[in-house]
Amino acid sequence: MNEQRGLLTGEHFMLGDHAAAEGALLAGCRFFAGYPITPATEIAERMSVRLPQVGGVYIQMEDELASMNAILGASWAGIKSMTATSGPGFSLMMENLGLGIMLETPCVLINVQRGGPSTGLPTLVGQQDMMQARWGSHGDYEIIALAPTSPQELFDLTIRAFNLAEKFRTPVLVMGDAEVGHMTEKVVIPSPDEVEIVHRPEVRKGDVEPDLFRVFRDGTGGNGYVSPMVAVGQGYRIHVTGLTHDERGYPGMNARTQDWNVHRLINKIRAHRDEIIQTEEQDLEDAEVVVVSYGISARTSLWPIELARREGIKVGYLRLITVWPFPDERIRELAKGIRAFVVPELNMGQIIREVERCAAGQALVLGANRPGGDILEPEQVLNVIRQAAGRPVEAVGSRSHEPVETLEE
Amino acid sequence: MTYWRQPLDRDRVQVPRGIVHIIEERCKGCGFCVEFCPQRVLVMSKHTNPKGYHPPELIDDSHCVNCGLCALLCPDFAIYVENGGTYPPDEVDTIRRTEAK
Amino acid sequence: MPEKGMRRSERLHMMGYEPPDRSDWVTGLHPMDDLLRGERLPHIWCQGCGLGTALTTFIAALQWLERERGWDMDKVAVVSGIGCTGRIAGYVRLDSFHTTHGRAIPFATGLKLANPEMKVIVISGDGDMAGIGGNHLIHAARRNLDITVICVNNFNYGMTGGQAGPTTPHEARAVTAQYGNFEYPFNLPYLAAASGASFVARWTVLHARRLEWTLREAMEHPGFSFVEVIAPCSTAYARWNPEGRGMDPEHLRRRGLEVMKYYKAAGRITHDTHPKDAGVKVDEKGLITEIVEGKFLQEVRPDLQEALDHLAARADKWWQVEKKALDDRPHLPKSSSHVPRTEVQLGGFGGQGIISAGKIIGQAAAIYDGLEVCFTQSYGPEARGGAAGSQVVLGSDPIHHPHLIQPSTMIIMSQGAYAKYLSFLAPNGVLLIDDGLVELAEDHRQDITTYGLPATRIAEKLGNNRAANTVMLGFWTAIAGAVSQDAMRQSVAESVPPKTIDVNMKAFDEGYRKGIEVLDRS
Repeated sequence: MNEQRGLLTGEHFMLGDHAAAEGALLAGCRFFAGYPITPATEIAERMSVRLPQVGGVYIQMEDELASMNAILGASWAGIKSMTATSGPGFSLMMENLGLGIMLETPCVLINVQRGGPSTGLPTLVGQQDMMQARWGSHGDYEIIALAPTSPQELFDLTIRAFNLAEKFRTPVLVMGDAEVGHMTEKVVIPSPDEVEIVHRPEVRKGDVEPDLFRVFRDGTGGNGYVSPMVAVGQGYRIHVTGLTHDERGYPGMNARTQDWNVHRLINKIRAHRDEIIQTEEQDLEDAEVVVVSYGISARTSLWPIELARREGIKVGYLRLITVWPFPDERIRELAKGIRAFVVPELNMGQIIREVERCAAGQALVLGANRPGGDILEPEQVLNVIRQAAGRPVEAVGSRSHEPVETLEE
Repeated sequence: MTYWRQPLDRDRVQVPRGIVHIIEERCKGCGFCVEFCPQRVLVMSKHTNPKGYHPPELIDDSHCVNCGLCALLCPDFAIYVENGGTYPPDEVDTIRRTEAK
Repeated sequence: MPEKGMRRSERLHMMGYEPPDRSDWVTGLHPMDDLLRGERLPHIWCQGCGLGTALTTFIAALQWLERERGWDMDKVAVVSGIGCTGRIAGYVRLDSFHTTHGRAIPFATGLKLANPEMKVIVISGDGDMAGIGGNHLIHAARRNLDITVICVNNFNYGMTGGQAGPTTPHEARAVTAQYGNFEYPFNLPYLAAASGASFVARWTVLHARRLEWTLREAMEHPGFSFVEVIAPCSTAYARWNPEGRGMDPEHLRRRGLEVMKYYKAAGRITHDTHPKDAGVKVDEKGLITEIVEGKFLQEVRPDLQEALDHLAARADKWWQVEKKALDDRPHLPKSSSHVPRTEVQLGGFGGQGIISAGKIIGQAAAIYDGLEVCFTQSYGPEARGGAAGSQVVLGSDPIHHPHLIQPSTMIIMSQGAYAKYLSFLAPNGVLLIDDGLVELAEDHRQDITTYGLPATRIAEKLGNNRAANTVMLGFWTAIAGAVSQDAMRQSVAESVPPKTIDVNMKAFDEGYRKGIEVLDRS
């Protein structure tokens, strides 16, 4: 199959959701299973048009449980696969996200977040699934989650998500949001030769004696991170299970196997945190206040940061490109030398907990929160920065950070 | 075997024979093979296997017609039948040690 | 070195294979051992459980297909869910997947669609398939996906101790139905057939030979095949129900066998029965009185893969057209001057092309003028039929705040939008209205500049009133001066339906001309 057939290149004025789809295609995704849900539907729509053009398969499943499972099945058939959803569907996908982690199955899940809980605000922005992304499926595991701030980043980070998924043999989350997903901006699509595309370590028919092959043990064909995968139909007659399993993939219902299994899942991520974690940093050298944010809230913080600097406040900016794993070391290090962290996010305080944990009392941690529905008002973030810097807080027109007492006027 | 009249196709009919193999240590003694053998060539034995179950015992081996139902019904892959060739009906053993069905 | 023709176990031993310590299973004794994972055996199923027999018949059918039809066992995958039946995936020496509860079918769907040359067989229990995974069963059947689903039905949740489930007969007993089951069960063949399965059959494991034959047919069947296999649960269901002679001490030791004998009495082999009439019949105490068995449905219809292959050709055609359009895009000189942050609000009602107009501005600025642009639109029910709004932010610098802070220009094409948006316009801002559709209020803002143009009437005169938005775009381009005329013309040309390019270009030029006129006048 010609992997470059039907791929776009050049500059496009593109919807964020569509950019994510194009990123997936460039990364080699050839299978998409999903279920319509606002505001992620446009990813599915784009995939339904584009996948048949590039020789891939698009299928709309009966629900998100099925969608997540179908992409795992496709991945075990040796095809890069993806699904996309939003809050309610994300909840349903948690079950089989766990299976994907347990089976060490590379795949990508894009969550275009909207306001919750429950059905919440289908068309409006939120960042309330960040902790669910980390802990949503039961049991112990490590997860990789990336947070894009623009359609271009939805494109770029979807490619990176696939690369990380393939390298670490694990599902990777792209935590977008309604604002970024439904925004149209310029997206530059490089030619496929200019992009680094990672493929899972793999063994094929004849590489190893099938009876000696261990589906969960490094050996021939490993990439130094995880053991090689083998697709169905290669003659290895593999078995994998969501039960706690040994190196052959066989269930082992005892503490020793559990120890081996869970450590393996966790260590493959923890041992390579430095390689996975990406942040964007500005003016941290002499900062007294550091704004730590991600996704759309990081982007909308840049303006209040600029305003605060004009007021003479030394504000630094730390954007979490990868929210999970969390950059513990960096936050700990910064906490020693600054006065306060400000954590703007479109939820009532999720990632702020991580910042508080790492700051460990060495620096003040203030949130700029709003439970979604709209992006953060610049005044609100500016005021929190002022507060963090010990400056007087001015009364502002926007009351969005304060609870609404009554909706009746 | 004697007949009160000679069947017309007597010279053509051949009776298949099966050689039953029992892998005793796999048996869980469910009794399916004994109960549903059309030729009733098996009984439950008196002895036990290492798991403590009574495996089946072959007592009328000459009557096995290699139908393979025991192998298909056995949930534990503990019994199978090998093709033992065929032989003319005359040579069928007339003595039965179990009740024929 | 291992040689061909050696016994598998000898070969493995020479290569240093160590049999796991938990298994006392010596492989190679039984003709089915080659398709079994001996190292995982003996299996977990109880004495007298029908699952072993279900597995035996499945393997026998596979061996027949290998022998008689030349199937390559490397190209067969088994997918299971959770439960006693789910364990089958772990015992067969095939590519096998033990997934989550109820999700075997969607996993198999992904596997099969991503590698259509695989023969995919789903084997799972009734709770898995008809309870938690019921939705997946009916949808896979509806799609006529070419997989085989073997649902082993033992009338209860066995692994968790015998709770009642979606197939437990009415009034039958279970751990959680000690007073009798107050619910009614599924008739699985009817469910599968009604959902679109193209092959439907049912057997008890007692009819092992016929079951094997049916499994061969089902696996060869192109399309979704469903085989219900009724099997005794010797430990749980048989304990509570008369089929297994309950607690009768005489039969305590071989309840599975008692149930099998019972099936012999209750089984009615009636091929081609309408699935509707194939329910498991019970008496008023929940005792099974009749199990209709046989092949109920077999018809060849186009399966999902066929439909997908069909679609690929159409998609390719479409791509060729798209690609040509993209390749033909001109390269215009990018804007060299510094454009400050410019915010445009567009408003009107659904159908006027308010969203398209915003997108055309954005595309012109982003692609052809090389500016930073962020375009957003109102979503949701209010965008259809009622009010429509779209926003464009553009400029030379990166756009951090994607929403409008204070728009400097507005294109307003309905009275509703006028009322809704006007107050947001910056002081000294420019308001452009379709003055056939918008009437200025008596207390219209004096701190702004307002220009009117009968865009809809102009478009009508040009022959297509749907080009009114393009007239307004031309008007805006001339007056606002934020985006170049060439960029806008190109963006209009590639955004409108091909047949309307001419009228839209005329509309744009007319609007632009009027804009220049207005500027010259003032």
